[in-house]
Amino acid sequence: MTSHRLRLAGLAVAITLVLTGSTTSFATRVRWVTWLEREAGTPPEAAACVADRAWASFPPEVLEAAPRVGFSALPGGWRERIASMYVACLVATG
Amino acid sequence: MSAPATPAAPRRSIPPSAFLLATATVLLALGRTTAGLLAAAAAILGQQLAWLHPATARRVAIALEAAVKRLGHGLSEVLFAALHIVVILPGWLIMGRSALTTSSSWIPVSHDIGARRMYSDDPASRPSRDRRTDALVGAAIVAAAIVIAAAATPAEESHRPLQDRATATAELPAALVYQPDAASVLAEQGQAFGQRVPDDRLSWVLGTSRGEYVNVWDGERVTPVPSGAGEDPLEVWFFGGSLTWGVGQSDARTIPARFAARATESGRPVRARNFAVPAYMIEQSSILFERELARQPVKPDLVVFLDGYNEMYGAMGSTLAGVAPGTPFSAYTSEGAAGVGTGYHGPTATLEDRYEGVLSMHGRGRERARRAAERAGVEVAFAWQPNVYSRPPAPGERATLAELGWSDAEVGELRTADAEVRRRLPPTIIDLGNVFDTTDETIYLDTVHVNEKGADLLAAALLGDLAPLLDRLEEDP
Repeated sequence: MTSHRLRLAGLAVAITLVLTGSTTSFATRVRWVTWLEREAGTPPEAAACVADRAWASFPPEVLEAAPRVGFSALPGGWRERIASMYVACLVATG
Repeated sequence: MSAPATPAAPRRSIPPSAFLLATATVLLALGRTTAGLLAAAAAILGQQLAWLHPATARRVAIALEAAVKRLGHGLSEVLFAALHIVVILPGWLIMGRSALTTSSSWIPVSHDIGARRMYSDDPASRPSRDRRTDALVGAAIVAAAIVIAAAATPAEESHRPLQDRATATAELPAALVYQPDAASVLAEQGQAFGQRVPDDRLSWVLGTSRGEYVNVWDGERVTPVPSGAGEDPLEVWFFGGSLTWGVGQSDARTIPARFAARATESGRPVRARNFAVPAYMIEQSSILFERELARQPVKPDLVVFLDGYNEMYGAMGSTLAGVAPGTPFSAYTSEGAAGVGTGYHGPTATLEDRYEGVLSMHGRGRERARRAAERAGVEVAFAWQPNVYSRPPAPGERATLAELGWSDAEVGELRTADAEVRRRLPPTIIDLGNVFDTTDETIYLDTVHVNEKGADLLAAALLGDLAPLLDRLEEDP
C-alpha cells in the first residue's frame, strides 16, 4: 500500500500545505508591517503591534485587502477600526 | 593487457559566487532590494577572494557546502515529521497498521555497488496494477494539495468589494434603551446621511431630509426655537461633527437645541442654529462658517465650534490616509474614501509628532474661524468634546465597546491618548472631557455619540462656561 510513490505524494502534500499555510500567513503579516512603515510613516514597533492585533481579530479578506487597496479606499467602518487600533498601538509602543 | 586507467576528470562545481548572484537576482526581482544587494555584495566579495586568495576561498566554499548540507538534512527531518503528522498518521488511523508497513517493496541496496541511495524499489517485485493504483492515488493527492493551496492563496485579480464592518451594535445600544423613539431617530438619521451632496471644497454637505424626529433643511439640522425666546433672542451658531449634529437625538434634544432651551430658561433668550455636519473636521467647519456668514441674512452673536474627536483620530492616524501629521484632510470624501488616496512618504512620525499634529491641525482651523468671526464682528468660542475614553466606561458602554471589537487594553491606551491630547490643549479651549466623570450612567451609544441625557449634560456644561459671555452680549449686543 505504501509504495514510494505514495510516500512521495504524501510528502508533496505535506510540503505544499505547510509551506502554503505558513508562507501565506507570514507573507501577509509582513505586508502589513511593510505597508504601515513605508506607506504610513509608522514606527516599526507600532507597525508590528498593529499587524499582530489585526491578525488576532480581522477577517482574512480585510487582512489581504488593506495593504493592497490602501487605507483611503477601505470602507468607513474598517477605517475607523484600523485608526483606533493604530492610535492604541502608537500609545502602547510609545 | 588492459588499457591504462584514465584519471577521472575533476568534478566541475558551480562556484558559490554564482549561486549568490542568482539569489541576488531572484531577490531583486521579488522587490527585496536590501537582501538582494547584500547577496550581490557577498557574491562580488567571494569572487574577489577567489582571485586574490584561492586557498581561503576554497576553505570558505567547503565550509559553506557543509553548512548547506546540514541545513538540508535538518529541513528534510522537519518535512518528514510534517509528513508523518499530516499523511502517515491519518493514513494509519484510516487504513490500520498496513499504512506504516515498510516491507512492501523497499529493498536494501548493497554498498558494494557504489549506489548513493541505501534503499531502492524493485519494480518487478510488484504487480503493475498495484503500481498504477498507487500512481493514481498519488496523483489525486497531489492534485488535491494543489487545489487546497490555490484556495488558501489570496488571488490578486478576483477581488470582491469588501463588506463594511458594523459601527453600531446589532441591537439598540444600552445608552438608547430608555429613549422611547431611539429606533426611529436612528432610522431617520440614516435617511438624512443618504442625502449627502458632493461639494468641491468641503467634500460633501448635507441636503434636505424630513422626518418625524430628524429634519435637515438645506444642510442645516432643524432646531426648534425655545418657547419664551421672545422676538429678539441672541443667535448662536454651532459647528462641529456628528456629536454636535446630534447622532442619537431628535431635533429638540441635540446639544445646540438643549443649549438654547437651557439658556432661555435661565433668562438668556437664545436661538440656536446647528450647522454641524457628521464626520467634519474643524478645517471643513471653519470653511462652512465662512460660507454661511456670506450666505445667511442675519449674522450670529456668537459662534461655537464643538469638536475634537474627528480631529484627534484624523490627525493621529493621518499618515494612514497619506497625509502628514497636522495637515487637514477629509475623513470622508463624497465618494466615501478618505485622505489623498496615496501613501505617506514623509519621515516616520512618532507619537509626539502625532499629538502635535492634532493640536496643529485644530489650531489652523481655529485661526481660520477666528479671522472670519473677527471680520464679521462675531464672538467665537471653541470647545473640546468628550468621548467614551475620557472616563472609565460605564457597564453598558463596556458591553457596547466589547461588541464593536475594542479590548479593555485598547480602551486603556486610547484613554491615555485622549488625556495626553487634552493636557496639551490651550487654555482658551473649553475642555468638556470631564463632563460625565460624576455619573456612572451609560451615556455613549458607541465610541463618541451620546444619548439625549448626555446631550443635555453637555449643553448644561457648555452653558456654564459661556453664560458670562451671553450676559455680556445681551447687555452690549
